[in-house]
Amino acid sequence: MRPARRFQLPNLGFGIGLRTAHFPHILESWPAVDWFEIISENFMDSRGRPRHVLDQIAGRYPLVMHGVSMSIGSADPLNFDYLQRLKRLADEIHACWVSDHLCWTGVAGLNAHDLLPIPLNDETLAHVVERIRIVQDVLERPLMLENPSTYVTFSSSTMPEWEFLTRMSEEADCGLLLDVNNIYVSCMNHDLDPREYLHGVPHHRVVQFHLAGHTNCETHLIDTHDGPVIDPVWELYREAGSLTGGAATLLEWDANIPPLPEVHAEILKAREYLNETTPAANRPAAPHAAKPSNRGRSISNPLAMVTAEVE
Amino acid sequence: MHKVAAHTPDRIQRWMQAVIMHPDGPVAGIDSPLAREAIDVDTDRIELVVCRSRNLTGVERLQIYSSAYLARLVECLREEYPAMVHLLGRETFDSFAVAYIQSHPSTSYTLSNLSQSFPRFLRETRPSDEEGGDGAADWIDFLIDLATVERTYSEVFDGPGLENSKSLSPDDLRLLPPEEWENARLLMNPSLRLLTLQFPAHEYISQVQKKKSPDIPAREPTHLVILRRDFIVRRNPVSARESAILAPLRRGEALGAAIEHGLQLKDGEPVPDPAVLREWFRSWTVATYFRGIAAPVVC
Repeated sequence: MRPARRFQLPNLGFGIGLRTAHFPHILESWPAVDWFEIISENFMDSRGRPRHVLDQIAGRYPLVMHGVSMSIGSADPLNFDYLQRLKRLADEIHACWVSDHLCWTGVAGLNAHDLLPIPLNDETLAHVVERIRIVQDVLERPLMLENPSTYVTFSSSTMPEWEFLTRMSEEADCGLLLDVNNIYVSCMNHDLDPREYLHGVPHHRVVQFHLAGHTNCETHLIDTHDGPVIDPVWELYREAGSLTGGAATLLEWDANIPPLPEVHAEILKAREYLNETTPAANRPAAPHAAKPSNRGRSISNPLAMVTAEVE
Repeated sequence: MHKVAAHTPDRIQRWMQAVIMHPDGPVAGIDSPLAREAIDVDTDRIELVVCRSRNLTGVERLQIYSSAYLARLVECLREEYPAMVHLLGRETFDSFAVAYIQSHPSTSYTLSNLSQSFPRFLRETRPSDEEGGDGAADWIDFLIDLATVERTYSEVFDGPGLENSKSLSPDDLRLLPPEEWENARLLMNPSLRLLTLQFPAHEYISQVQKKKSPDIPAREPTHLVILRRDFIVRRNPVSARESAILAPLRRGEALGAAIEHGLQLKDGEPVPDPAVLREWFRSWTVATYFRGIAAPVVC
C-alpha cells in the first residue's frame, strides 16, 4: 500500500544519527551516507566547532533535526524562545524536516531530560493537538512526532497509543516519526502485541522510521541505543516498510558508539529487509534478543551532550 | 484523596516529576510533600495512578525513570569534568554531582547549561578548613579551581568566537595614532575569559587528558587566559601584572587606565618598561585576544 500523502517530503534513504565521535571520520572521508539526523539541542545555540562542522556537513548531506526538549505534552506553557531558536537553525541548515517526541520532559519550569509518557485520553489529546498546531505555526513547517519508549502506563489512559497517534496526527495535521524499536520496547514493557500497534498507526502519516538497539533487563526492556538492531525489530521494520510504502530510515546509536563504517553497515541492512525479493534466509544476521543488562549502565536515551576539545 | 478522574495531566506530571526526581527513590518520592500535594496516594494504592505490568509493579516501573534521571545527568557531569573525576574517583565525584543536581535541577532545554552553577555550588558548600581536617584547605581549593577551569573550557568551546571574523593584528595596533592610545578601548575576543586561580589547575587537566596520573600541584597563584582559536580551546598562563591590565580592558576600560592599573600592581616584580608592554600587546594580538578597537565616542 502506498501512502496517500507525506507532506511532499522525500524518502531520504538510509541515514545515521550525527554524533561528535564521528566528526573526524566524516570530515576526512565524506562517507556515502544518504543523510544525517542531528539532535537539535546540541546545535541550536552552538557557536563553536559543533556548528562549524554541522555547516560543512549541511553543504554535502540532507539533514533532519530531531529534538528532545520540545516537551509537547507538558502542562507548562510552550517555550517560544526555544521554538524560535529551533526554527532559526532549521532555516539556516535547510533541514528537510523537524521532529520531536510525544512526551513531556518536565513541568514547573524543570527539565528531567527524559522522554516522559503522558496519559492517553481525550484531555491530553486535545492539549497535545493544540500545541502541535501552535508549534507548526511558529516553525512554518509540519512537525513530526515520534512514539517514545515508555516504561509506565497510566490508569487514566482511555485509548491505546496507536489510536492516540492516529487521532493526534489527523487532528493536528502533523507527521509521524515511527520508531520501530520503540514500538517493540513499549509493547514488551506493557504486555502488548507490537504488530497490533504497527497495524494501528496511520501509515500515510509516517515520514520517517527510527531503528536502534535496546537492553534486555529480563523484566523489561530499556531503549539504550547502544547496540545492533535485533531480529524481531528488523522483522517489524520489514512489515512497517510494506505497510507504509517505505520512508526515510535512520539508525540511532548513542552509547558504546562504534566507528562510523560499522554504524553505516548496520543501517544498510535495512535495504535487505525492505527488498521483498530478498529471501528471508538471505537477510543479514541479527541477534534474536538484546544483550542482557550489564547492571548500572542501562540509561534510557536521550543522552545528548557535547564536550569541549582543549589544546 | 483525589479520585482517579480528578488526576489532571498537570497533577500527574507534577506528581511523577516529584516521584522520579526524589533523591531517595520513588517510594520516598511518592510520600514526599511535593508529590502528595499533586496526588495524595500511597504506595499501596499506586496503581490508581500508574498501572502494573505482567512483570513489574507500578513502583518498580517508576523506579526505571527514577534511576535513569540521576544516572543520565551524573554521566553528563562526568563527561564535562573528567579531571575532577580523576581527582576524586568516580564514587566521590558522583556524590558531589548528585548533591549539585538535587540543589540545581535543570531548567534549560539543553544539557550544556546543566553544570553552569557547579563551580559556584562547590564554593558555596565548601566545608570550613576545620571541618575538612588536616590538609583539607588545599584539596578543597584545588577542587574548586579544577571545576572552574573545566566549566570555562565548556563555555568557551561552544560559545561565541572570532573564527568567522577578523581579529586585531599587531599592525592594526601599531597604526593607532599615539595621541589616541590613552583613550582607546580594545574590543575583546568574545571567547576570552580571564581566571585567577590558587593552583595551576590547567596543568593538572592537561596531564589527565594525556592519561597520566598527576599529583595535586602545590598552591601557586595562577592567572589564566582561556580563549578559542580555530575552534579549539587554548589556555595561556599570564603574569599577575598582565592579568591586571587585561582585566580592566575586558571590562571596557580605556587603554591608559588599564595600563595604569597594571603598573600600580605591587607584586614584587620590576615595573615593566615600555618595550615589555609593547611586546605584551604584540603577543596578545597575535594570540587573537582582541577583535578590534572601539570607534571613538563623538559628542
